[in-house]
Amino acid sequence: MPNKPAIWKKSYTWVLVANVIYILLFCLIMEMYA
Amino acid sequence: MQQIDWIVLSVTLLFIVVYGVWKTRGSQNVEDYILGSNETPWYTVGLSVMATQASAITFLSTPGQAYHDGMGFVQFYFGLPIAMVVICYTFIPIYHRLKVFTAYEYLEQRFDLKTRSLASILFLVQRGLGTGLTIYAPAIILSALLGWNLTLMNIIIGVLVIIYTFAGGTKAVNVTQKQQMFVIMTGMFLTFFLILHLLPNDMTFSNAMHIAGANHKMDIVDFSYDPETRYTFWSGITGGFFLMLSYFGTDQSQVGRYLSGKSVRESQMGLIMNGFLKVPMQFFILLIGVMVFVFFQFNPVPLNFNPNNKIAVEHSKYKNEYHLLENKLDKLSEEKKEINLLYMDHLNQNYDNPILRKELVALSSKENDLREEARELIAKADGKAETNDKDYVFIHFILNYLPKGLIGLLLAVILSAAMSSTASGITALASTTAIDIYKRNVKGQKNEKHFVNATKFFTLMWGIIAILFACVGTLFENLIQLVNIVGSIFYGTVLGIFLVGFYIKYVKANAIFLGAAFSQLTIFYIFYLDVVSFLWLNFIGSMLTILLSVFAQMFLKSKTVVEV
Repeated sequence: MPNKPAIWKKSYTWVLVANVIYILLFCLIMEMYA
Repeated sequence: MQQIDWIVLSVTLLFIVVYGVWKTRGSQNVEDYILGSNETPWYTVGLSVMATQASAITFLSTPGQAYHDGMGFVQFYFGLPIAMVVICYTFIPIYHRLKVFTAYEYLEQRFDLKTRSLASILFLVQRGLGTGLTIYAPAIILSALLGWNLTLMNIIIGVLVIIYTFAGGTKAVNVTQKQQMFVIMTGMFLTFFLILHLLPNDMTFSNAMHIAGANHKMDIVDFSYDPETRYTFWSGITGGFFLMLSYFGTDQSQVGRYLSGKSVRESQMGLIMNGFLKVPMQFFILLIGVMVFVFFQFNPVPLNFNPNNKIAVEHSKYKNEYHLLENKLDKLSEEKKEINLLYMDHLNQNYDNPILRKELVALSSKENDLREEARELIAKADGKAETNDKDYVFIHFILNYLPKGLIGLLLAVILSAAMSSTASGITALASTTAIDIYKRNVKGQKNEKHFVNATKFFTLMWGIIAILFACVGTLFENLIQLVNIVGSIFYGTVLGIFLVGFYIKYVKANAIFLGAAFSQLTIFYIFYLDVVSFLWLNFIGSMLTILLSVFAQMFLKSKTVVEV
């Protein structure tokens, strides 16, 4: 079973990945409407 | 304002105050009062951090910003998630390990007393000014539109906050911020769906987005390197990152929120929650402003949204010229409405008509010219008038187009946001004064009760100072700009001190003090020369502090070697 801190450190990566996805979505919205 | 609005507004605000006092009743020690007994779960930490940053101005100004300049402002927050990760990795574990009550306590353990005192005094100056502003800014806007007495409004907001922060300290701030965030988000979601409902019958959300896009409101991300453009992807990632790092990492009004977490992990998760939600939240608030823009493409729109500006022109010799501009805008609005309806018809037939888009851009440009002419007339009529009306756009929409009851709820949203930021500010000022100044310098052995009473006294004192500062706010021209400038001048140095403390073990107490002092003097000089925008002073200040302190350490070390 993976230890808890290791799982926890991953959420740092996830928060950055989520924000990259937001920016990509913004670019998509711009492409569609701007 | 109808009776139902008054009822909704009063019941919401009073419920929050009474709940805050009731929930935190009982005996307290310093840890209870300043750190909320370290019992706060991660979602409360997260909501509290978000509520602290979201002041009333966020909900008044941001939609207005989108109305005039589009969605580009969201880029300002792109550096925030990176700052959250850095704080979670470095700042939080150190603060928890050292069991500090305030961020500045760490500086004495790492450096010495004079560095701690320097940082805490810089914080007290800037946050003292800022907390007064969080009360004053919404009060001046609401008093202008609703005719309420400005001083009375300042006192009411301030006293409501003092009641629960004085009674319950940090725990009261945390529990009330949860309710406040609930009120804020409920109000904003309801408004968003209501705007969509108020748009013309066959207007879909996608059509509304197309109309916004045709008017350049959907230019969200700008990858250009133009230094003249304030909000770009690059300025958000760099300037925004340093600003958020100093705000969340070293400003006690934020540090106090996550220090109250149950454990290191709960504090970290609270900040990570902020990193996940902040950018979409700002995007949503900006989108509301863009939808308000679309709404006004089909409804009568004033030449300037600030009613005081119109009154100033009405009482001057420029009255007739202004009326002429108003008539021109009415005609232009009619023309725009017809073209927008035609454009929408074409969109419904899956045709994005490029000719109509061009016409819309041309009409928008004409409208902007009319608004600019109106601003010039206002400035001639009253030299002191703030002609930029972006703070008044959203509240104008709320008061004139929202149904009964919802107006009361939206006013509760704005006042809740004002109260949540003010409460965090007052508790942070009180805990810094009590722990970093009073407790550190008081003579003799004092018991726990003494320090709780002292912190309560400082809470009351800073609450009264904030109200007084808000009451004399009208004496200062462009107060928001003043507070932002003061913040940018000092934030960089304070961040530099913390970064050296965390990452450069080589630098010792005297070197950091010299580096910080020289950096602060240089920042004053750069500000005096006026060669860069004040937004960059934060970044320059932190870099200078780091470099100068390293040089100072090298110099001091070589001097010691020579003396030996």
